[in-house]
Amino acid sequence: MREVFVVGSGMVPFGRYPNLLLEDFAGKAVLEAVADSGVNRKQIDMAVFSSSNGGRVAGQRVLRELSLTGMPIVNVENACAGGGTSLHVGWMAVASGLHDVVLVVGMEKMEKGLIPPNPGEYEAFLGKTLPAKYALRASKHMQRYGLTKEQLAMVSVKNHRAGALNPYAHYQEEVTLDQVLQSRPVAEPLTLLQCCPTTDGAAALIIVSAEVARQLEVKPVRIAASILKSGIYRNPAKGQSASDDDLAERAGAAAYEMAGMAPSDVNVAEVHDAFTIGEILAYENLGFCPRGEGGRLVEDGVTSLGGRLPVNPSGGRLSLGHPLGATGVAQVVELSRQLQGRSGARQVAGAKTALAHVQGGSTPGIGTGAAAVHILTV
Amino acid sequence: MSEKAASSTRIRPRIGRWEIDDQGEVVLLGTRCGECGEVAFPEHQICVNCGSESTSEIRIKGPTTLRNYTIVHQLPPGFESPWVVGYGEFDGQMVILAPIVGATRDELHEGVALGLCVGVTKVEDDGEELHSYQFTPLKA
Repeated sequence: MREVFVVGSGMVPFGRYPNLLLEDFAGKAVLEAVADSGVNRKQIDMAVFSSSNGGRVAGQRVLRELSLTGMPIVNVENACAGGGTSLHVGWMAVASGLHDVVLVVGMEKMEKGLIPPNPGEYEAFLGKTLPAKYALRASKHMQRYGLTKEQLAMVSVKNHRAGALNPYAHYQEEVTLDQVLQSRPVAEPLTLLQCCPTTDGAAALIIVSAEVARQLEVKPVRIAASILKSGIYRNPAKGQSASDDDLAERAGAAAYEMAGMAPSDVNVAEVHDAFTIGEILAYENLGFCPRGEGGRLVEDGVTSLGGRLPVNPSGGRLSLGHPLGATGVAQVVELSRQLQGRSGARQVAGAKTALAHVQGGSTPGIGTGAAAVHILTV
Repeated sequence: MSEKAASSTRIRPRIGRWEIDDQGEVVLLGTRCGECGEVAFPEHQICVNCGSESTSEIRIKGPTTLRNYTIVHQLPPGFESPWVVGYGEFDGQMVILAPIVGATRDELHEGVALGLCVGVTKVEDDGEELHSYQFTPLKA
């Protein structure tokens, strides 16, 4: 397989765009990524788009407005993991040698409130909302490992502190531990400020072969690993790890193997914090700390900006926002700029290796539908 | 199409099946794999664990042991709020998610035994009541 490089990134500020079409704001992210890379946009020979609510041929609708027509366009839906999935598909196209310049776009316009379940999602019919799913993971972790409500809330405080420094973040305000704990309960122990807001947004990347990267004047970021996995049935009555955790563990382990790296090599990460507990579990599933010690990792400041391993320097889903299909691409926009030293007040000094993790798509029996992990390096 | 016709063609969630036995007890109807022995609820015609197509029906009775739960405050229309859902373990064989009804906070803790019952879980906007299996504290 060929090496693949990120050479351009673009993103619109995440927020609410009630008066704009998806085509309008996603096109801006595309143009920014193209300009950032220095490629001629007519050089793009394939495009992969991710969205869950975008409707039919969403990618074609965006590119038509930019006079980019005729190329193969793949439209991907994989719930919260859609953005990571679209990058994986684009990576396959370049790595295989089939294409040299691929555009990867994540974009979404969200509906306010709870995400409605699919009709076949019987646990949702019983009252297990998405926040409830994560709340159940949190309550189990509290019972088994002594995770505290305060440690959970610290994830939100930390990510809002980073988001306050990010001009692309939906909520650019710090919050206190008390504000997080005192906000209204959504599914106990999770309170409102521990759940991602309703956010629209779009992010785009230009990924290319080494040969194309050499012709550009930008600092290329190598994709050292690109992994996509789906959930496997696990029976928790038999002491197996939960399907959701197992999925992230498998995706992470495969990514480290592909990159020839270990968790200790990672300098900065974006992980799936749609809910605070998601970030705690990601630390453990991705090997940033031993099982059960995720609460202490955030409490000790290890994952804060300025810590040994800053996690979610963008503000994460909790502060940047979580437009489902856009998230995985936005994570790599943030991380590739971190590795290029372009992140301003939230720059992680000297970062050489970064990891992006998304997972989602609640699916009874197999836990979570999809997870994508990417490792980037300069 | 009349409202009644629309209601009768509604796709209902594929929750597990149950029946009430001669003693009036709720029995959940699952499957056991003939090859790997894995039990499943709701039923699976193809074993979710090993892929075997040789599965047969099993009858699952309470009580169940509560593993963990959450009190849900933000819910879609049609649910009572707050609403409690939790995981019950059956004889170290399987874990099933269900609503928990009629319990105080004090009655909800890891390891407590809960019985099976059937009740209204959701009311559709046309007033149709959707029933499901539920967990509830055992009567003294």
